[in-house]
Formats: sequence, structure tokens, C-alpha cells
Amino acid sequence: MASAMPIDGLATQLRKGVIEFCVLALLRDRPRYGGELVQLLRERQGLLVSEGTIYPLLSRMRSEGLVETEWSDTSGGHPRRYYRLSRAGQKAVAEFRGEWLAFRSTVDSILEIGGRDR
Amino acid sequence: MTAQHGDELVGVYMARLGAALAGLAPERRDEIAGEIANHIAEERAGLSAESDADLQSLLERVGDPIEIAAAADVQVTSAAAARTWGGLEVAALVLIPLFWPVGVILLWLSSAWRVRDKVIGTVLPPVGFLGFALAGPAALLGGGGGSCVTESDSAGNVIYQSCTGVAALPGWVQALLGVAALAGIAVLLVMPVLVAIYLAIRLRRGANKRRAQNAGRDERTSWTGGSAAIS
Repeated sequence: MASAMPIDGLATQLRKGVIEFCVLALLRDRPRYGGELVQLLRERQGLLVSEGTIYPLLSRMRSEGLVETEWSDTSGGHPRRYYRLSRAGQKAVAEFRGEWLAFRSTVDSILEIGGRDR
Repeated sequence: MTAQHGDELVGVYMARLGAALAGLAPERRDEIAGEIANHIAEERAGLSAESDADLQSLLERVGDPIEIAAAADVQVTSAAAARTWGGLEVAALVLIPLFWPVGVILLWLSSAWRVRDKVIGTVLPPVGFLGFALAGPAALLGGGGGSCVTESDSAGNVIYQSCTGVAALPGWVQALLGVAALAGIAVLLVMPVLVAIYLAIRLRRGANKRRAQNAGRDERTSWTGGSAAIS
């Protein structure tokens, strides 16, 4: 990583690394449609800046088999495309969770002790 | 603001999005644009009184079409890199030496090779099949084409031999012709295999190049690799 990375660039990089798995994790309980996912991410600051970028992400995760989609007819309104976690998607979330917990505790410990010998 | 003006604003936004997504496969472009159109329509329906400013800030939240296209683009390149070693390419490489007519179709279906490589894969292997056609006459040439009439006495000693054609040439010329013919046939026969090897090398080179291009800006792939490849 560049040593002189601006702090907002850093935030972008961090977001890029985790957004996919955050979206997958939001689908763990039940299928959701795009607007619903945007709403949930909007409540959690800093994860999704341009809301429309979630759709290319969902499209790719669909082509990679991490999510499956089905159309649901909401009475009278627009038909919505619901995204459901596939088995591969569940596995990806579980793997990411393990990686993330280990990664986070490593970074936390370094930040706290500042690299001094214990 | 009238609903018609609102529709116009959304129409302009969707046109810009369509232009920004123009590089994608039509199916993907329609999927993304369709979802965003739905998203905007639902958000608009949620506005109590749609003011110009409301709609502007809604579209701003959805994001700059360029930015959305960039999110799609990064994924396209990483998907293409992953696809480099797909079943299609492996099947094409196997079938080009074994069953060229199908192999060549797969070769052209794949997006992993440049046109120049595809032309090479199309033109050169048939030269190898020409080798089969030449193998018969050439074997005759090398292995004693022409004929000899030999008369032997009762004890088996040759008392007379008259040869025509290649067989009439001195022995060393025959040997040379034979070696040359065999070498030529060998080159022709292995040609499809050589082409397949060449195409495999080109495939790997393309994959490396793409990987290097992605390395700088697509850290996401290192997460999906399963191991914590953050360095």
C-alpha cells in the first residue's frame, strides 16, 4: 500500500474489501430486495456511499453463484428482484467472518500496544 | 415541479447510466440498469411531495453513473481473469489437436485469445491434417517406391535385378529422401499439438497480464481467495 494514501482513499479501500460480505451477511436471515439492502446499509454509516453501486455488486455475486434471485410480485407495485443467499454464499460469509475476527484482533492488538514488546 | 419534469430528470439520469454501462454485456447492463430504474421508482414513490431538490438529492444518493459503471467494470475484469482458465478454453486446447473442427469453434467462442492467435489456431492445424494425406505417398517414397524385378537362381543368389522409379536411385539418395519425408510428416503431424501448446502459453500470458493490471485496484479478489492475503 502507498505510504501517503489519503485517509478518504483508505476508507474507500477498506469499504471495498468488506462491502460484498456485509451484503451477503445481510441476506443470512431471509431474502431481501435491492432497495431493502440499501436501506439497511444506509442505517450503517460509511459502508455504501453511492447507493447504486450495490447493483453491479449484486449482479456479480449472482453470476458467481453467491446469491440467487427470484422475482416477487408485490400486489399492484413493481415486481421486485429478491436476492437469496446460496450455499456458496453462506460458506463465503462464514469464511469471511473467521478471517475478519482474526484480522481485527491482530490489528487491534497492534494499535493498542503500538508495536512495543510485551 | 411537475411529474413530467421529474420523469425527464430520471430519463436523463438513466440515459447517462446507459451510456456509462455501454461497455458491459447487454444482459448485465439491462440487469443493473433495470434494478436501478426500479430502485429510483420506489424511492420516488416514497417522496411525499416530489420537489426538484428532493429528486436531485435522490439521484445524487444513487450515485454518479460513472461511479456505478466503475464498480461494474472492476468486476468485469476480475471475472474475465477468473474465466481465463475456464472449461471452454481447456476444451478448445484439447480438441484442437484431437478434433479440430469442434476445437476451432470453441477457440472462436472464447474471449481469452486475441484474433491473431485465433487465426493461427484456425489456419495451422489443418496443415497437420495435410500430413496425413501426404503420409501415404511419402511412405511409399521413403520405404521403396517403385519396384524391382529380381531373378534368383535355384540356390537363392540374385542373378539379375532391374529397378524402376525411386528404387532405381542409389541407396543413399533413397535413405535421404526417406529421412526428409519422415521429418516433414513429423512436423506436419505435430503441428496441431504445437499450436495447442502455443495457445496455452498465450492464455497464461494474458492471465498474468490481467492479474497484474488488477492487482493494484481490485483488492476485493484477495478476500474472496479465502486466505487473508492483505499485505
